[in-house]
Parts: sequence; C-alpha cells; structure tokens
Amino acid sequence: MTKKTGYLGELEQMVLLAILQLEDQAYGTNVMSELESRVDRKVSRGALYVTLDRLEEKGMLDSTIGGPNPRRGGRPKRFLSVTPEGVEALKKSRSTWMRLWEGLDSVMEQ
Amino acid sequence: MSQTQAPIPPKLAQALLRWCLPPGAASDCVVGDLQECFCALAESEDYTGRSARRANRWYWTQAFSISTRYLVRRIARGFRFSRARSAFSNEAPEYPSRGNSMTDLLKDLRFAGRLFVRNPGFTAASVLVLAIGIGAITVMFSLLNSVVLQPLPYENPSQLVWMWGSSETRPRNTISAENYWDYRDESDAFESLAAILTFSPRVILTGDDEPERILSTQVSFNFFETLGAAPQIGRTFLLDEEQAGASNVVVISDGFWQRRFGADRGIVGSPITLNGLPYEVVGVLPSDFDFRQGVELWFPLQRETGFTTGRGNNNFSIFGRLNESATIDQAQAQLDLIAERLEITYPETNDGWGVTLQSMHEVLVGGARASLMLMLGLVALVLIIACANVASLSLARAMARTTEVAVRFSLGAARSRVVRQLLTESVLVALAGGLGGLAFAYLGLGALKTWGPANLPRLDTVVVDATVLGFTFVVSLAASLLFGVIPALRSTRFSLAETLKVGGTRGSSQGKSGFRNALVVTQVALSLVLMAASGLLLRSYLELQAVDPGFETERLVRAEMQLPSWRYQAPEEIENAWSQLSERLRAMPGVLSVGAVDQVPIRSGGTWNTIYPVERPPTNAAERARYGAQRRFASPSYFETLGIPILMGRPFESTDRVGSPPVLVLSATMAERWFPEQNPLGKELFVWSQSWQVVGVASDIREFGLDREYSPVFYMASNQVTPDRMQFLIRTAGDPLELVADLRRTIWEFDGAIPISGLETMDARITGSLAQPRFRMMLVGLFAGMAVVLASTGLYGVLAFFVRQRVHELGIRIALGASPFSVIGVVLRRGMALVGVGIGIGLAGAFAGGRVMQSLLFDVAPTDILTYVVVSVTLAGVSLLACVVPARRAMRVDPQEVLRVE
Repeated sequence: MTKKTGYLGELEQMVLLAILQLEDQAYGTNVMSELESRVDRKVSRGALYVTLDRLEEKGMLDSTIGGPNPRRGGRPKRFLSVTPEGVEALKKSRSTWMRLWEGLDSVMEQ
Repeated sequence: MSQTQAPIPPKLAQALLRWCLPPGAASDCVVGDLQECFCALAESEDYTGRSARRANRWYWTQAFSISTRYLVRRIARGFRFSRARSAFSNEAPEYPSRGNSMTDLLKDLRFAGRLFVRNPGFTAASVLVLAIGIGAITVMFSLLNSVVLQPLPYENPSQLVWMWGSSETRPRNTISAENYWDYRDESDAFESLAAILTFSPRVILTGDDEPERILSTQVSFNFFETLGAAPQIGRTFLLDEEQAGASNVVVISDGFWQRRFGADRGIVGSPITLNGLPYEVVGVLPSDFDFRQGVELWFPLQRETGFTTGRGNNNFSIFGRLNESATIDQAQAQLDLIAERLEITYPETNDGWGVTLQSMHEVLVGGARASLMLMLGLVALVLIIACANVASLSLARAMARTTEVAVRFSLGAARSRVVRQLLTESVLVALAGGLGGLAFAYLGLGALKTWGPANLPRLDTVVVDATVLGFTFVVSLAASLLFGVIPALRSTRFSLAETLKVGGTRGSSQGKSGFRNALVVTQVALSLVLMAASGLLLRSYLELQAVDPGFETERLVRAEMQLPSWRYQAPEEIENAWSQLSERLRAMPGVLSVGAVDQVPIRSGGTWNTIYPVERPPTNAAERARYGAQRRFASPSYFETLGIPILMGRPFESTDRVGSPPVLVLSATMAERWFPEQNPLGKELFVWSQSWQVVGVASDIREFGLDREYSPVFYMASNQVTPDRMQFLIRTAGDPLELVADLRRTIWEFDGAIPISGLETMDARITGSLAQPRFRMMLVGLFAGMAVVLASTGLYGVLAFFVRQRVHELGIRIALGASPFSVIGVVLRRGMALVGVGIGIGLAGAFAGGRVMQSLLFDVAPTDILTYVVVSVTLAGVSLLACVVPARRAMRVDPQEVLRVE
C-alpha cells in the first residue's frame, strides 16, 4: 500500500500551527486553549487527541513524555513538536492555498 | 475544598477512560491533561459545592467525548483488521496488543445474534419483560426530569430566590407592597427584587368584539427584567409607572395579541379599553413566557391603589435575582436587619414579621418532587422484578446449555471468556429491551399528557430528551448486569466430568434452584410492596371521595359574572343589579334555586381578613396574624341553594342591604373559635374598621378541598357590601349543562356588557380537585398490576422447571400408587412456600417503608392492617393460580414414559 501524500485537513493544519506557536511548551490542553484564544475554534478533546495520534502516525508530530506531576494525579505530560515532515506538509499546504488565492483579491473585495 | 489536597476526579469516569483509551504512556498523558484542567476548574471559585459539582460534570462530559472517539476508532479499525488482515500486516499495530478484545467482542456479538435467531421465544420473552420495566421507569424519569430536574425556563434560574414573609405562626406568607418597596430600596444583595400580585383579577375588555373578561395581574416595573424576559415588541414598564397617578399602561401576552388583534404589530402604542378606561399597550410578551398560567394582561403595580396601600395588606409574592457576589445567606442576613428596622418603625403591622428566602426552583416545583421521587422508587421495584424474571429465564436457559459450556471448557476456553460471552448476550437483550422500553415510554407519555392531571406543573413540557435517553441506556446496562452476572457466573461453575457424563439434562441443579427460589421470593416480596402501596392509595382515594363536602353537589352549576364598573358604581346600583339578575335566573324554567358567593367552595381562592370580638382586640402583630379568618360575600339564598344548614339564628335576608346595620353569619368552626359554649348570636365582631353583629351560624363546608380541614369562615351579606364580581350557583331540576345556553341569554338580556366565565358543574369541580390523587392511585395501581403479572409468570416458570426436573421422581411416585392429589400437593406446597416467604418479607418491607407514603395518604395509616391483609390474600390467590398449571402437568406425568427413558 503506497502512502498517500494528500493535503492536511483543516484541523490538522490548525493543530500543527498551534504547536509551532507554542514552541517547546505544547501539550494537549494548551494546544486546545491556543486554538480557542487565537482563532476562536472550539475543538472537543476527543477530536483533538485522535488528531494528534493521527498526525504522529503520519510522522508529522513527535512527542516526548515529561516527568510525573502531582497536579495531574502523578501522570506525565506529552510534549509535542512538529517534525521536519510536518513543517514540509504545512509549507506545501500554504503554497497550494496561495496559488489558488492568486488573482482573486479583486473578486473578494467587491 | 481544602487547599492542601487536590480534588479527585470521578473514579467511574476515570475507569471509563482507562477502558476506552489504548494502553500506553500517551493515554496516561490524556488522563493527566484532564485531571489538571479538572483541578483548575474545581478550585476556580470560592463557593466550593457548586464548582466541585460543575467540575465533576465537566469531567464526565470530557470523558464521554474522548471515550466515544476512541471507541469509534477502535471499532472501525477492528472491522478493517478482521476484513483485510493482509493489507494491514505491513503496518505495525497502532497500540501494543491487549488481547484481541475487539475481535472477540465481534465474535461474541455474532454468536449471540445467531443464538437469538435460533431461540426466538426466550429472546422475545426477555426483551418484552425488560421493555415493560424499562418503559415504565423511563416514563417516570422523563416526568421527573422535565418537571423537577430541568432548570426553570428563566435566565440564570439558580440566582432566583423567593422571599416569604414569615412569622412564628405563618412561615410562608405573602408580603405587602409597602414592605416590598422598603426591602427593594434598602437591600443591595439583589440585582433586582420583583413583586407580583398573588391573584389574577379579571378585567373587562370592551371594543369592537363582544365584551370579554380577561385575567390580569400587577407586577413591579422590574418583574420581567428580573426573570430575564424581554418583550417581543415594545417595552416593559418604567420605574415612573409605579408612581401614583401615572398614565395607564399595559403589557399583553402573545396569546392575547394573536387572538384579539391578529398579531398586529401596530398595537403597541395604541389604546385598548379595559374596565371602561383607555390603556396604552406598551409591549407584547414572547410566546414562551408563562409565569402565571392564563394571565394575559400585565399592569404595573401603582402606589396608593387598593392593592398596594397598607402595610398589613399582604397582597404580593416577592422574588429576586441575587447579585453575582451575594449568597442566599448573605442576602438573608441583610434582609433580617431591614426587617428588624421595619418592626421598630411600624410595630402595628410588622411586629413579629420577618422574611425568609428560598430558592425559586424549590418553591415552584418542590411540591411535585416528593411524590414523583416516590413514584420513581416504586417503578424501580417493577424494573427489579422484571430483571429477576429475566434472570430466572436466563438461568433456565443456561442450564439447558450446560453441555455446550462444558464442551467449550474441555476445548480449553477460559472461564472468563465464557462468562464474557454470556454477558454479551445479556447486554444485547437488555439493549433491545431498552429500545422497546423507549417505544413504550413514548406511548406512555402520550397517554400521560392526555389523561394526566392538568395541575401537575410543567406536564406539557415533558419530552424524551438526551438526558432521558442517557438514563434509559444506563438503566438498560445496569439491568443487564443485574440479571446477567449471577446466572453467567453460576452456569459456568460446575464439575466438568460430571456434566459431560450425565449428558447435561439433569446435572447439578441443586445449587441453582436455591438461587432461582431466591429470585421468585424477591419478585413476590417486591410485588407485595407495590400492591400495598397501591392498596393504600386506593383506600385513601375512597376515603377522600366519601368525605362530605358539607353541601349538596348534584345538579349545581356555577357561572362567574362581573358588573362593568363604568355602568354600575353606586352601591345601590350594584345591589339592584345582582338582585334583579338573581330573580331573572330564578324565574328560568328548570331552575330550582339561585345563590351567589364571591368564592366557590372546593379549591376556592381565599381572602383572609383579621377579625376579632370588639372587646378583645389583638395586643400585638403576632396576635393580629393569628386572628385571621376566611371572608366570603354571600347572597341571602346562598345557604339554601347549596343546602348548607343554618345551625343557629338566620341566614341573610333581603333586609340586610346597603345602609342597614352590618351583620355577619359565622361558620361553626369560626363560632366555636371565638364563642365556645356561648351563644354567638348578637355578639359583635370587629373587621373592616367597624363592628358587625352576628345573626347566624352556618354549618361548616370544605372551602379548600375534600382533603382539607374546615377553616374558620365569616360571611358578609353581598347586598350590604356590594362586590362587583360574584359567582352564581344555580340548582337545576334536570341536567344543569342543558341550561347553559338559556343562562347566557337571560344574563345578556339583562345587560349585554356582563361577561360570563367559569361555567362548570359542582360535580366536575370536585372531580377536578381529586385529579392528582386519582392519577397517583391509577399509576401505582398500574405498576402493581405489572408487578403481579411479572411475578406470577416468574413463579410459573420456576414451578414448570421444577416439575420438569423432578419428572422421574414424580413418575415413580405415581407408579408406586401416589394419588394425583398428593402429586399436586408436592408442587403446590413447593410453590406456595416460596410465595409465603415472599409475602412475609414483602410485608415487613412495606411496613418499614410505609412511612414515606404518609404525605400522600388521606385518613389512612401507612400501616393500615386491612389493606395489608387484603393485599396479601390477593397476591396469594393469584400465585396459587400460577401454581395450578404446572401442578396439573405434574399430575399427568405418565410413569411408563418416564421409566422407559431410564
């Protein structure tokens, strides 16, 4: 089975960008609040975690498990970072959109 | 929550998560994320009870959301995995393996499905029994959910509190407008404090159409704002409109706007004529605004009018919206201070009076809660019986499958694996039962809305919503555990060699019959509890129906009338109008007698006045409050028309009229209260700032309903005090309803501007007043009926099984010459022993738990011996019938056939 090199979904793009914005502090909860505060996008936790798993399977995300924390019932944090493949996919998405948007400014301003 | 210890998320939700998430560190992190947010949420606010609960709810929602996501994913992958293993094999499995639980589950489901198809009788019976139980509990829960659990339909309902006037003797009283204004001005614990007139006077609308009497009420300017209701057009009231002499304005309901003005938006700003005066319509309320049923016109309460003057005139219900920062206790403390100040400033009226706050939800629906909770409890018993029933069925079936299970074991299946298979079947049956239950509930709710009592609050809003669906789902799962776990465990615990040797038809039944017997005993015991509850309610209802209302109710029709105030103003004019109307009605063919009163007995509203003997005035406000009695205006022929005996003196006469010496007739209770062992005739009582002479004593009647005690009542002569609104009571020779058209014509011939309303017969009024107890009685009777049917089929099943198991023994007995009756005896003894134990336990339970029913019973003790005896005998009789069929089968056992097999 050849791996499909499709485009990123909207939520996937948003998640990856949010992780990049958060630099080395990105983990589940603050990715969620980043999305909410920056673009007012409310994501259910279930959807977010499944998306993170999928991105990791696709090789676009890396995660490192932190140390246990008493505030979290002794459970660790899963810190997220975007892999070079992820950055590549984002760039590709962006340039695709840019190309599609080209020359449409006049239409949109009406 | 203490600062040192972190709050703990709900354990069950955590377990759910752990079960649904794939194992591994990543999932641990997910749970950690949740817990972190949970702690933050739980500690975010200072009043901890509320925030802890909110955090718990939040955690559950999140856990559900995440679990379903992962479950869906696992199921999707599971299917893909089993369908296309090869296509998948070059990828690593996503998660470390935890057995093949998903594929196992699919296998179990397929197997269970096949079994059901092969054995439709068992499946259908189980599903049906469960559907009945689940359906019944779903109906009751939807009622409870909509009527009690849902928040009130106002903005932020949790901030709304009710404010009662309270004294030592009257803890929940209404409040006067003057006191209300003081509380409103001096307290800052409320965002706003609103008032509404406790009753709904009718006003007469005249215009192009025929005159109409419309329910109205008066509210403070901030009433709508306090509830968070905005008008759909126009505005509500302004503070200035509370001032004396402000212009006449009115806010109308959506229904009135549609009906009378065809939803014309131009109505706002235009005048309508009410009681002969022009009023400007300033706003139209939204269609869902329903604070007080039936009220269509809302006026601002105005200073210095009849209802608002006088600190002792407690005409208003007060409620308020607490400030965000204020708690109910803080508000209460502040109000206590104000009340103290008012007591000092106005000792005559306020001495001994304070105020008490209570949550508005509690005030509006609290009364229904206890009775609905009890119903839910009773219906839960029905469900438990249904589960016990299905448990016996599954046990019988598991017995038949002993060989299958043994073969599986011998082929190396783990016990846990087999138990899981059996449980899967139970869950499937329960879910099918749940679906059936929902269908039953849907039908049941329709029936309930048609036949339920009209005065159950918010009945029309009852729906099967997500909460109810969730409830049904959880109940179904719980039921499956209840009836599935023990049979599954029991049927997988036996000696392998033994079973395989005998062939499984008669092996190892001894231990299990104990459990089956216990199931029957449970069903019988719970049925007895339900029957006892139903019996008590029935007796209580019969007692209630047998109560003498104190007057004759047959062929009595009521019509409410109001004289248009712009035509009849002088007392003589009013007196004249009422007398003439009476005479005309009396002259109608078929009319025997006509009386009039301002409040019709049974469920009447009441007007409470302070009244006392002239020589014994109250010395303080608390005493003054105790001196209240119900006041009625009655026409001369009122007592005669209703058939209320005059015990002493005389009724009112035509000479008791405007300008003649003021007279009173007292009810027997009232006379006894003030003049025990004295002759009350000729005594003077003080009320309405003057003294009145007692001329008669009338027998007591049930003013407020058959289940209420007599209250002290004093009657004033309607011709003397000339109220502009009266309720006529007309005794007819034939069916009163046939006279209604003539009645209207006669009245309108007299004056076409007199609106007539409230036409009903007294019998219908009494039946209506019994609607709630009747509804409860029928509902619990229905539950008890279901319980008995289920329990007796359960008993039947167990005995039939018993006969099949002992076919050998019975055959041998018969072959050795036992008489058919002794064989029947064996079976009956067996069955009735179980029933006896069940009834015994049930009686003990019903006796112990009967107290919770106390508040619903009238004149019947919850431990009423007669009820218990009748119920026990009935249950024993029905059980005996259920035993007879298997016993007859035992009698017909053919010894030859049995022994040939051997």
